[in-house]
Amino acid sequence: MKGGRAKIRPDLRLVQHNQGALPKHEKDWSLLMARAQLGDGQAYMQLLTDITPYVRSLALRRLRSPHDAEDGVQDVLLTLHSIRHTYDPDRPFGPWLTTIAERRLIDHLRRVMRRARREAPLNEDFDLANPSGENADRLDHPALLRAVEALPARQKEAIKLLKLREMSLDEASRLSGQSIGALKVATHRALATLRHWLHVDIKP
Amino acid sequence: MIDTPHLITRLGHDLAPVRRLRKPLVRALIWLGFAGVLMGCLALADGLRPDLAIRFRLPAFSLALAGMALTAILGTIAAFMLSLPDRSRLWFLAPLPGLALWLGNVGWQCASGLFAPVVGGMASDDLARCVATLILASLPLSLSLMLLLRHATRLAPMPVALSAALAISAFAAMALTLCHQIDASLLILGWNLGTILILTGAAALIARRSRAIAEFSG
Repeated sequence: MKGGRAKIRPDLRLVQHNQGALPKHEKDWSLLMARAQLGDGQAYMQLLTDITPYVRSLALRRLRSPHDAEDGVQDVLLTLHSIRHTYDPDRPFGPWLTTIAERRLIDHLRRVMRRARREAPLNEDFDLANPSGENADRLDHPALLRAVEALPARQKEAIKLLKLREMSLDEASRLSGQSIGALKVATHRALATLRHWLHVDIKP
Repeated sequence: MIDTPHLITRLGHDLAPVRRLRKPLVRALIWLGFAGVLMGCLALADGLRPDLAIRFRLPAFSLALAGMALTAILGTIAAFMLSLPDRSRLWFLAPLPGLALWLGNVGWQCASGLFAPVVGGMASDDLARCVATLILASLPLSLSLMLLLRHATRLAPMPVALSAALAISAFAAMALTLCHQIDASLLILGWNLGTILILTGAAALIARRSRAIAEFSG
């Protein structure tokens, strides 16, 4: 991710200049978009690939988590796709793209902040990998592992990545393709199921 | 979540050609033409008010009507401009001179007691005809404008919706002023803007709920 960020900086600077001049890139992008509107898939893929680093740099400025930023980038690309008929090739491409990106990213940031208010971060209290105290004596490790294997696929994946392999939420999310919110929910449900199956008081 | 390069490939694969939108000013003028024809049909169906010629001699009446027309035209142009990502947000201010002229003169007429601004004491069939005029003027205009501006929903829908509501209110007020002997400008504005605010609020709430459900069930 760091390499990617370093790579996109020049593009970002160019677009910032664009309030005055971003002629070279913008003409290319404008041309590619005009061809994409006519149905040229290759031009469209090239355009989206070219603009992604710039959109990602905007996303990383607003959303700290790389996972959320990538979600935001995809949201911008999907919005651009759904309203690509609104682009007028006689006008510069930069402001059109930047406005779409800014508006979608602000919306995305609001969603992330709402989610953050609603959910508590996972902390060491969730740690089941090293049970201690009274529960440690009562937990039968092979039985626990068997119970984990019997969980529904998403819950099993969440428990394995977060608890058994002790990954961070970001890492687990990247690896599994599940969002951080989904991972937290899956973990919560998995713990409830395990608690029920094993008749032990597993701390959430 | 799929990875971004994969998403790009999927979007580019079998890309359908799209028809570019016409210039916003052209689209606004075409829609204004449609609204004008609709107003004409309403005037033909309802008949103009009998005292229209006398009313036109009053500057406050003519100016209020000019304000309505200006608000309708500028509100429409502003809505079409604001629905595009690369046009200035300042278009939002465009209908304000028309609105000031309209409401200023309505206020002046109220203050000078030229006529009552609210529909108090009207016969019930008169009221029914007024409401019918309002609905016939507002509904086709609202629906057609919503259809033409639907691409703005994923960007910043509020300024677009408010400008459009102003334009439609102005048209509805014009229809009522030309065909009936009442002025319900404030009522119409309140109704249209209130509806827009309620609808936008409800849409935002539903979107928020459905996103929350999607996140939890993901």
